[in-house]
Amino acid sequence: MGRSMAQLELRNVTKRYENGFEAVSNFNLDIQDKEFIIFVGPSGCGKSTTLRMIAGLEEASEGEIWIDDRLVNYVEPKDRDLSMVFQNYALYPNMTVYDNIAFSLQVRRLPKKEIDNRVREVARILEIENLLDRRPKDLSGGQKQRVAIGNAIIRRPKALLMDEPLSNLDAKLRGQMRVELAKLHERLDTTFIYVTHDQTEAMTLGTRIVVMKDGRIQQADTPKMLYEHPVNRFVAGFIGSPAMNFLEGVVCCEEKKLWLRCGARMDFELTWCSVYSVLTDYIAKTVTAGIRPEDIYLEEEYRKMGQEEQKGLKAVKVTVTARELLGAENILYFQAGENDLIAKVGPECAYRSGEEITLYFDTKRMHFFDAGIGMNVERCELG
Amino acid sequence: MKIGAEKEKLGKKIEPYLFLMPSLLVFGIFLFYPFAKTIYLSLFKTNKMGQAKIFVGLGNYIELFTSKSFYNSIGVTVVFVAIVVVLSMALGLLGAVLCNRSFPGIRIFSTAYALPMAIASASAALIFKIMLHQSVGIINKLLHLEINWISDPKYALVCVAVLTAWLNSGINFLYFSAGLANIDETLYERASVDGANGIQKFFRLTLPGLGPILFYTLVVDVIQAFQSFGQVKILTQGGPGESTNLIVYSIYRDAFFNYRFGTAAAESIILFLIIMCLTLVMFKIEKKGVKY
Repeated sequence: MGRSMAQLELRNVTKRYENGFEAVSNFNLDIQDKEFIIFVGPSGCGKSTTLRMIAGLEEASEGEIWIDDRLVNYVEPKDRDLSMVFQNYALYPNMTVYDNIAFSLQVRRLPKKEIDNRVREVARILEIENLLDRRPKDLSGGQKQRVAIGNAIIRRPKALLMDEPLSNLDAKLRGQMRVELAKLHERLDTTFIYVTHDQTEAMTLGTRIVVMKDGRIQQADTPKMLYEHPVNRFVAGFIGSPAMNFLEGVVCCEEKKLWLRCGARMDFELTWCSVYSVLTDYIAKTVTAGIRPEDIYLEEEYRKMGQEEQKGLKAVKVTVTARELLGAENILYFQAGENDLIAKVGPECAYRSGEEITLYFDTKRMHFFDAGIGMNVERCELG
Repeated sequence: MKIGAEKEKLGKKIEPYLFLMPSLLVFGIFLFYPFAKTIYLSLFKTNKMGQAKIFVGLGNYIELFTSKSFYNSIGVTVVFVAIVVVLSMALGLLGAVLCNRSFPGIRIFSTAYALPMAIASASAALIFKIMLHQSVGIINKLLHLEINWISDPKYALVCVAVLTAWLNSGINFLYFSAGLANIDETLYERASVDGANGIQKFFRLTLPGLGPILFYTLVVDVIQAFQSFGQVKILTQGGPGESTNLIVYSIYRDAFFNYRFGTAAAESIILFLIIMCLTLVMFKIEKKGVKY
C-alpha cells in the first residue's frame, strides 16, 4: 500500500484540566516512521490522554505536536490524516460492517468503485469477507475488533492510533489478536501508536515502549533495554511478569569485597555485578536490589550449571509459602528473612508450602536502585 | 373448615380485580362508556338535548360522505397535521442538537426550549392573537406588513399550525434530548478522526441514532395534531370561511352549535378510525424500516 512518511514529534506537551490536575506533564517524544510505539502504564498515568491529544480529540494545554513538520495543535482531527481504534470499538450501530469499514472513504467522497475495491481488500486481509452485510450487534468481540481495525487501516493513514484495543477480549483471543497485530504492522508498514496497561502486550508488540506514570515519561526504550536496564524502580517493577523482587540492603566493604547486607540470612557478594564500580559510591548506604523471578534458581538447576555459570550465584535459605504450576514452569512464592519473594522455576519442582529449601540468586543479573529516589544506580552515575 | 378454604380461594381469585378496580372504574366512566355511547349516538338523529330519537342506521355517515364541508374538514386537517408534525419535530430536533453540549447557561436554553410544553394552548393562542393583530401586532410591526393574518384564508391555517407546532415542540425537545444523550460519545470521536464533518455526522450518526425516538414522537405528534382544538377555538373559530375548520372543531360545531349530535358522533368515529389506521400503518412501516 502506498503511503506518505509519518514522523511525529511531541514537544513539552502538557495536558492540564480546569481543576488544575495535570494528566500529562512535559511529554517529549520523537516517533519515527514505521515504529510500533507503545504507551504503557497503570491506569490514570496519562497514556490515553496523550494518544487523544495526538488524535486531536483533546487539546494540549501546552507544548507542540508536529506531524511531518506540520504543527497540528490547532488542526481538526479530521484533517490530521490519522486513524484510531477505540477501546469499545465505536462501531456505528446503524451501519453494516461494509459501511463501517468504508465510512472514512465515503465521507471523503471517493468513487464507489474504489471504495468497494479497498473494502474488499481490507476484509480479505482481516478475514472478515463473510461478515460485510452484518450489523455490529450481530458480531462477536473478536469480529468487532477486526472491523474496527479494518476501518482504521482502509484509509492508509499516516499513523494508526490504538487505545487499549484488546482489553475487551478474552485472554485467548487477546493472544491471537496480539500476533495478528504484529503481522499487520509488518504488512502495512505504518506507524502504530498503541496504548495499553498490559506489560505483556507492550513487550511483545512494541519496537519502542514508553513507560508512563503520573503523567510523566519514565523511560522510552526498546523492550530489551527496558527489561535489562530499567531506569528506575517503577519501570523495573512494571516490566516483566511476575514482577521483579525488591530487597532493601546496605552496601558494605569487607575483606576488600563489596557486599550487600539484606538482613540476617542474606548477604550477597557483589563481585560479579555489572555495576560493581558504581556501587563503590554507595558504601554504607541503603540501596534497593531488584532481582527478577527468572533469575532465581532451584538447587537442582544450580547443580546442572557449568562452573562459569555458577559464578555469582548466591545460596539463600528460604521458606516456601505457595507454589503455582503453570504447566511449563512453576511460580514459587517464598519467604527470605522478612521479604516475600517470587521465583520462576522449572516444572519438576514439587516443594510444598512450609518447606525449607535453598535457592540460588543470580547476583550477576541484579539491579540496584537508589533507595531514596528509586533511580537505577547506573543512571545516577550518568548524571 | 371447608367453607373457609373455599372462601379463601374465592378471595384469591377476586383480589387482582379489586386492585384493578379503581383504574377500571375511571377508564369505564370516562373512556369506555363515552366511546360506546358515541357509537350508539352516531346511528341516530338526536333532539337538542342530545338524546337519541330516530334510528337512521348509517344515515349520518352517508350524509357526511356526501357533504362538501366534511371533505373540506378532512383536507384542512391533513394539511394542518402535516405542517404541525414536520415543524414541531424540526423545532424540537434543532433545539435538542443545539443544547446537546455543555456551555455556560445551557440550562436556561434547555428550559426555554422545553417551556412550550408547560403553556396551555388557550393562553398561547391568546398571546398569538395579539402578536398577529393587524394593526398593533408585533409580527406586522417587525415585518412592516399590513396582513390580517387570522382573517385571511391564505394565512389563517398556517398561523394556527405554526402555533400548534411551537406548542408541541417542547415535549419533542425533551424526547430528542434524551435520545441524543443515549448516543455513545465515542462514535462522534471516531467519526471526527475518520474525517466526517458536522453535517455528515448529523445525517449518518445523529439521525439514525435517534431513529426509534423519532418514530415514537412521530406517532404521538400525529395523534396530537389530529386532536388540536383550543388554538382553533380561540384564534379563528374555524374561519375565515371554513379554512381552519379542523375535524375536532367541526365536531364541536356540529354538536354544540348545530345540535346535530348524531353527525358529530359519526365524525368522531371517523376521526378515531383515521388515527387508528395511521398508527397501525406507521407501526407496520417501523417494523420493516427502522433498523437499529
